Amino acid sequence: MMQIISKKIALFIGSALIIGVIFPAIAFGQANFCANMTARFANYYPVVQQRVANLQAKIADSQTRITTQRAQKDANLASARTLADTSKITYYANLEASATTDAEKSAVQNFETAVNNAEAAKRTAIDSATATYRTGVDAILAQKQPLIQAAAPTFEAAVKAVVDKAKTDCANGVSSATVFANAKAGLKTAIAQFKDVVQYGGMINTQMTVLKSARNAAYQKANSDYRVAVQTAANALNLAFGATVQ
Amino acid sequence: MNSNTKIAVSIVALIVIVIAGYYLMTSPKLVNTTGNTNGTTGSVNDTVKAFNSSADQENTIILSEEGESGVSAMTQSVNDAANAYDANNF
Repeated sequence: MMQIISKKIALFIGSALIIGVIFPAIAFGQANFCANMTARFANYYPVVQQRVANLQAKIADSQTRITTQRAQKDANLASARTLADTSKITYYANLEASATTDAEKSAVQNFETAVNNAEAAKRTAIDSATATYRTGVDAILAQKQPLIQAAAPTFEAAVKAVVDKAKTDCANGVSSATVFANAKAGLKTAIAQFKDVVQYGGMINTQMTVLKSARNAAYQKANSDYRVAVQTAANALNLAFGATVQ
Repeated sequence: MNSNTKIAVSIVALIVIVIAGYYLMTSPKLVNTTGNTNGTTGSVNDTVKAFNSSADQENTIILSEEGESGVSAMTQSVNDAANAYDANNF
């Protein structure tokens, strides 16, 4: 009998501990959610707003950078090519001046033709690779960037809706625990929906890396082909001049 | 010096000039370390070096940035916005 009474007392004390100590510890945040809501959201929502604003600014900046840097690059490349062409004329003139026999003169002409052809091929290959790369980048951005751009304010609005609903529910006397649960679920949904957009960012990076690798491989081949062609032409010219390279 | 001696000296001098001229015309032209071919400024090696140098300059330009860093910054901002707050910590 005493053992049964002892067991009941132990059960009572255990239950009291669970209900009185452990459960309030778990529920403390929920119970005070409405009271602390303003402070919680004051730390959260502005961060969301700022980061969405940053994202929109980066999208705009990205397009500006692409346009500006492509134009700058094209201008620099055009200048370099003009300079190379001017320099080439001088070197050709010097070679022509050093050719005395008909065979040497013919060899110089062949050298010039070979170099001109190699250079034209190199430039065509480079320009083609650049155009392919840019078209690819533009296509990726045109497809994915608007989705990101549109999703950002949607995410911000979804978060704001959660905040507004929590405030209204608290004001209307809905229990803190319920408001907390709804707010947490609402934010999870908003973030989960926005995280779908994150994969678009990953896709852009991946596809750009693939395009860049293909472009750079084409650049490398074009330059390698050019150097081989020029050296071959130079060897033939040296032979015609009867030159021996020391 | 009598006239026969003068004629002999002239012939020898002429022979020396002809031999020297022939040697200069037919001997291989040596490209020195600066790349100039026997005094001509249009050295083939210098020309090749100059053309390759021009190609290198073009390479530096074509491999330069054309907005990629801006795109990376944008995609990073997507992640930043998504991670503005972890709802699990709410």
